[in-house]
Amino acid sequence: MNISNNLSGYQRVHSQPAYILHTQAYQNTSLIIDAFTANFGRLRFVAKGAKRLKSPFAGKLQVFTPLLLSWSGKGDLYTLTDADFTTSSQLLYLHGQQPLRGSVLLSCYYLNEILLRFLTLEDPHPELFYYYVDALENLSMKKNIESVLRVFEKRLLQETGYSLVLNCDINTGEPIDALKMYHYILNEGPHSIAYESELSERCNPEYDGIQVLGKTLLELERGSFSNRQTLKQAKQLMRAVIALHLGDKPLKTRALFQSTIL
Amino acid sequence: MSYSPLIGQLISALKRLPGVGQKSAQRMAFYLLQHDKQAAMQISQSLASAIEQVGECSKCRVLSESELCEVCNNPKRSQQQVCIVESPSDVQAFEQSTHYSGRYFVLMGHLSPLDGIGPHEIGLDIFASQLDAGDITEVILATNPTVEGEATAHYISEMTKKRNIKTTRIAHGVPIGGELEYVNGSTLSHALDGRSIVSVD
Ligand SMILES: [Zn+2]
Repeated sequence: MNISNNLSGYQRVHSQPAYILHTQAYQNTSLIIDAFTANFGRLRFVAKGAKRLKSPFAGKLQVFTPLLLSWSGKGDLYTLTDADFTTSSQLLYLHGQQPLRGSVLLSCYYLNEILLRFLTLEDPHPELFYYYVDALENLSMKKNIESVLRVFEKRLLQETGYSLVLNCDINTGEPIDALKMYHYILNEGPHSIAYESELSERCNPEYDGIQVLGKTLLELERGSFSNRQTLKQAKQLMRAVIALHLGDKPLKTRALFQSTIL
Repeated sequence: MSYSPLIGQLISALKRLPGVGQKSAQRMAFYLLQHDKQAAMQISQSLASAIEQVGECSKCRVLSESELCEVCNNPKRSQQQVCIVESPSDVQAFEQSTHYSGRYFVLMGHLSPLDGIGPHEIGLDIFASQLDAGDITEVILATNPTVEGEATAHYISEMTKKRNIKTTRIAHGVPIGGELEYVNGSTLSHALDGRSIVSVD
């Protein structure tokens, strides 16, 4: 890796694979950029003069575009020194069109938003980076959007320390039975529905539990869904789990479009 | 260095202008107060009356001091053809360098989901009711060729498709990632001529 580091914590890093998650205007001509880098996790940069027509950054700092970023500095806000398209992003532009449209594009924004909410700065997640690339590619190829999102959500939870138990009843330790109904207690895992009476004494199911078919749990674990019903249940489960971890602040992408996909 | 309260106030007010920092604000304040009080008075008066009287054109949302702006009120311009742009400066760019003879609708931004800017925030509910009113026959999408601009164009094209209204997108000649405001006149003119039908899938 192209990194030079000295004792003061000053970094100079070259040509790192990265995607931009969000940009905001800063002063008159600059941008503050939140990016997901392959090797350093989520980082924040200032791109000085990026809004000027002749800036070397002009037109490059776009979301959903594979980039190679270089930066220097230390602390929470690095200075972006260079941004380049990769061969694959150049190919996208050569074809003269944005591959991401409509509900696909909204789903991509949703991925960015949950990454911004779940990832803390300077916390490397190289595996998750490639899951993200994979999700963007699958979305742009118009694979089943909902399924791509559910798989990504599961991986995101896994990588950020909130893994879901999907393969066994956490009371009995028995493997999940595809045909049984389970009560999924958020933060814990699936209880087979026979334990319902005992559970109702210690939790309010509307608040922190959700009912799912064993088949849904197994398909979510495997990452492929066989029908609308399991997909729908997986969405309800994931929504509840994500809401639990994100707290009161709702996701903007979801509120804005009230899409059934997210 | 500290100024008397009124001068300090003036300097911090001037600093709110784009591109004006402490030094320029200070220079402007001293210039106006020491050398050209007449200009200062003129600025203050025209600013006050502009703030009071200028609002948005009820049809296209550009700044206007009458209910309808000049373009929307001009009988020589087609009110059936609507060009959708992100900002008033894009309208200026079109007016200065193309032969466009329809009217505009200004979004004052673009969809930006992560900033909570959705269809309502860029006036698309107003635009939807204009489409429903039925006298618009062609919509030209001239949002910036950025990811957000494309997302916005796509959203609008879904609105127009539902209502069976001819929709075109300027494309040819405008560099990806560029902002229309900065594109030179001939490029923009070319882009307008080469616009293509938007297909929604
Ligand atoms: Zn008008």
